[in-house]
Amino acid sequence: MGTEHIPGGPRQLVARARRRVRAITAAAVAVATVSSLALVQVAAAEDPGSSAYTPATVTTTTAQSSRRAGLPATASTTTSSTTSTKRSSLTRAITKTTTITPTTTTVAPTATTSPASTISGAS
Amino acid sequence: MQQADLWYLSRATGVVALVLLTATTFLGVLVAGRAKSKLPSFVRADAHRYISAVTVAFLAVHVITALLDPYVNIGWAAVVVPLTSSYERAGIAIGAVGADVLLAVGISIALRTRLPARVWRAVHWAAYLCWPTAIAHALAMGPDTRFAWARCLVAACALVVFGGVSWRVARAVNARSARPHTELEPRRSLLAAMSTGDANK
Repeated sequence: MGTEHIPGGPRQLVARARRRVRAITAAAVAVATVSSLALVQVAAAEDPGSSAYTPATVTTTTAQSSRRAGLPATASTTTSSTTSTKRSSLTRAITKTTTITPTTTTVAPTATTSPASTISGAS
Repeated sequence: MQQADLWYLSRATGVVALVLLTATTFLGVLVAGRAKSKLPSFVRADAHRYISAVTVAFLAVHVITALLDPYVNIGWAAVVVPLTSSYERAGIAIGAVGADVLLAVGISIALRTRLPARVWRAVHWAAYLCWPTAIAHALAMGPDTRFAWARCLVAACALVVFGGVSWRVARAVNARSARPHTELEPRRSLLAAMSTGDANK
């Protein structure tokens, strides 16, 4: 029996095998990249409210007393705020919190409203 | 890109890097154990090398995006020096140990021709530490491990690596037990001659 004929020779076989490995590696890179992007989408989808800082909301309420009863007007301004948080639904240990202490400002009445007319009772 | 995108990218590349590290470890076990396969050994060695490079690339993205995320201040030193991060100190320390080992293995690969084979092999054996540290890092601070799919992924990775390592250990034990005895038993005739004193004649 003669020697077995290898088409292309052993060097070309080795080169072909190495090219195949590189192609498989390139495919692995592509799969890994696509998987990463898909996982990014999954992470963003399961955590929709945390894509940015939740802006702190400041509510200003001005309460004015009724003047109908002739009571002095008392204007009070209450400022309350909610905490600013980010990624609140994630299990991260740190939550960035900015708390504004509510303040109450009481404005003293400057004038007393007097009744414009006197309602007299039945004659 | 929003700030949260860095966080998502860091998480995603961390998961993918874990899978790639599992593949690298498994291929390394096959290469070192000289598994019988249709694939030639150089093909397996090349695959191990290339997948390792891809793993390092994804790990680099994972680390860099975590560092660039302004939400937490991890610090560049915490990447290689354990217990220097103010955020998730233990979890990041485990990851830093894994990164150190990987760095040492990478340097040893780069200097392979200049290092003695025994030193290179000892450093390369340390690469086995990378995988458990990566798993511990993921379980300690990976937020995705609260999901079933992520836990299944970690379990599958563990199954692959433990299966490969078990195969290699079993193969090494079998090879040792099948090794022929080097001590030659003296022939009975020689023993008999020595006992009667005829051996010197």
